[in-house]
Amino acid sequence: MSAGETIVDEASKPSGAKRAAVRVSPALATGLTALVLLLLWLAASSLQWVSPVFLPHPTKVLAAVSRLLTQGYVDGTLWEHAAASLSRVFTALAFSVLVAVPVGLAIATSPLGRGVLDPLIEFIRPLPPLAYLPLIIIWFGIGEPSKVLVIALAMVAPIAISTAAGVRTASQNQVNAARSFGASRLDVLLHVQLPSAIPAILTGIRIALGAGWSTLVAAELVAASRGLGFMIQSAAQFLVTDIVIVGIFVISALAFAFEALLRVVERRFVRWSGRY
Amino acid sequence: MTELRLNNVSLSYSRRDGFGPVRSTEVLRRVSLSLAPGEFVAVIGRSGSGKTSLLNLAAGFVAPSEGRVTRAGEAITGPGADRAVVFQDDALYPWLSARDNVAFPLRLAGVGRIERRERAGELLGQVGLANEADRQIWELSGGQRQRVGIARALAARPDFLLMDEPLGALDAMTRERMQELLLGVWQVSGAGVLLITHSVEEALFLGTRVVVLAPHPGRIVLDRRFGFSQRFADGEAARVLKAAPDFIAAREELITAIYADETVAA
Ligand SMILES: Nc1ncnc2c1ncn2[C@@H]1O[C@H](COP(=O)(O)OP(=O)(O)OP(=O)(O)O)[C@@H](O)[C@H]1O
Ligand SMILES: [Mg+2]
Repeated sequence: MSAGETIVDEASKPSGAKRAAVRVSPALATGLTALVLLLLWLAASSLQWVSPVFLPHPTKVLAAVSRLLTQGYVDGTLWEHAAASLSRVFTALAFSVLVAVPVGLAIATSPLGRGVLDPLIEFIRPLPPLAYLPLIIIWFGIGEPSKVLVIALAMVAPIAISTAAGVRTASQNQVNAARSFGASRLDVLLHVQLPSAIPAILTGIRIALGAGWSTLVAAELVAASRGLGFMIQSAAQFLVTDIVIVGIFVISALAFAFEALLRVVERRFVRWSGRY
Repeated sequence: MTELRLNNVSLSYSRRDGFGPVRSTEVLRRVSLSLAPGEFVAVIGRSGSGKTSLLNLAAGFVAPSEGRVTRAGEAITGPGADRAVVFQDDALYPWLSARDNVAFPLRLAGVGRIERRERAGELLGQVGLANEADRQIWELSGGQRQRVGIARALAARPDFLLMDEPLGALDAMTRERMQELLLGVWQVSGAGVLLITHSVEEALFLGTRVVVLAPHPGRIVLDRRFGFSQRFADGEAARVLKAAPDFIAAREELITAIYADETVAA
């Protein structure tokens, strides 16, 4: 090591140490934020800043959790409500992936596909689910299919649009390479354009799941007898605020868990994304 | 007559800036070039002289505006497995390992998984990447990626190998080794090679024929046979060859041809 380097080393030390003293890890910041919010909540309800009807005490909410787990609320335990909602969201996700990925591929690779499908996707994309919910009930009744359909409709556009954008990330030369090795258009689609689109598709699924969870409550407005959205609405009608809060936390936790899961999938299976 | 031939080929691109009129730029004008199996044609020319465009025509990625591109007398209407391409950017598939990239043409040809992985391994060995076979593309250096690209093109067992500056990104030392490797690969495969390069020395050392393209519009200003690669094959050392008086004389002649219109253009 040269003398010059040593000098630089020492010169940079004090400022480095100073910065380290102020630096806070993101995880710690997150934890502190949660703690502060919890303390605020505790203070607000203990000191009766707001009426317990609006904001129940945290211990009351905890009690509601255990009540929900054992006795349940409106004919179902927390597990049953969560399972009903989860199965709706994921049935909807499965359907919308099956529809939206081919739609996105068609939009990106065929002028006919773009002409026919792009306007349709752009048509449903900005629609609020509550706007088309009544029509879907009129058409398909109040059964399970309507609820799944409402959620799926909200998921189709983000997945289709991400897929189409992802296909375009395959470079002209990557496509030409395959063609020069004798690939048909279908080969190019399946072996070059679809794999290139996978990271974008995963991003689309993450956005779609967000849309799916927000649509869930609307979908369960309709003659549901199970589900987190249904549970929240039933509780809200009787001002059972603790159940409402539990419902909100459970939806948020589930959404967070799947988001985290998708990120793990992304890191494991599309490690190449962004590195090439 | 299985040769690949460009017959009086012109290529124009039309473009439109905003709402302005459609302009057409002539990129190649009346280019004629043939490539026979077993031949090694090196194409050289300044940046923008139309080298990649020429390769795109030969590969069948673009159709000529005028003239014909033929293979054994028959018009070429698109790319095909008889003409494999190594791209200026490597154009590999980053979701596949090095081995699976090389196996890709075999997969398209319907070769079974075990066999194609084995053959891909052999080809990677040929380009000196036996130990990197199961690495991911993004774990490889630029030069290693280009070699994967070459192995992938070889996997298709093409009659013609069309290479667009495959050694452009390499340092001088690696480049010299890779030139020798290219000669070896060419001799083993027996394919006709079209190699685009920026390096006059490389063109002379590798080509059985060297073609010089001049820009605006791209046209061939020189097309001549050289015997240096044969002399290397006959055992003359690369460095000695490149320092030989006749090599240097040929090099100066090519440089003159490449920059002939420089004063006119400026
Ligand atoms: N798709 C395209 N559309 C319009 N013009 C193009 C297109 N591709 C190339 N050109 C133009 O054609 C000319 C020749 O380009 P080409 O890529 O063939 O040059 P090149 O000799 O390969 O250059 P380099 O050595 O820099 O790779 C350039 O002036 C370029 O701007
Ligand atoms: Mg080029």
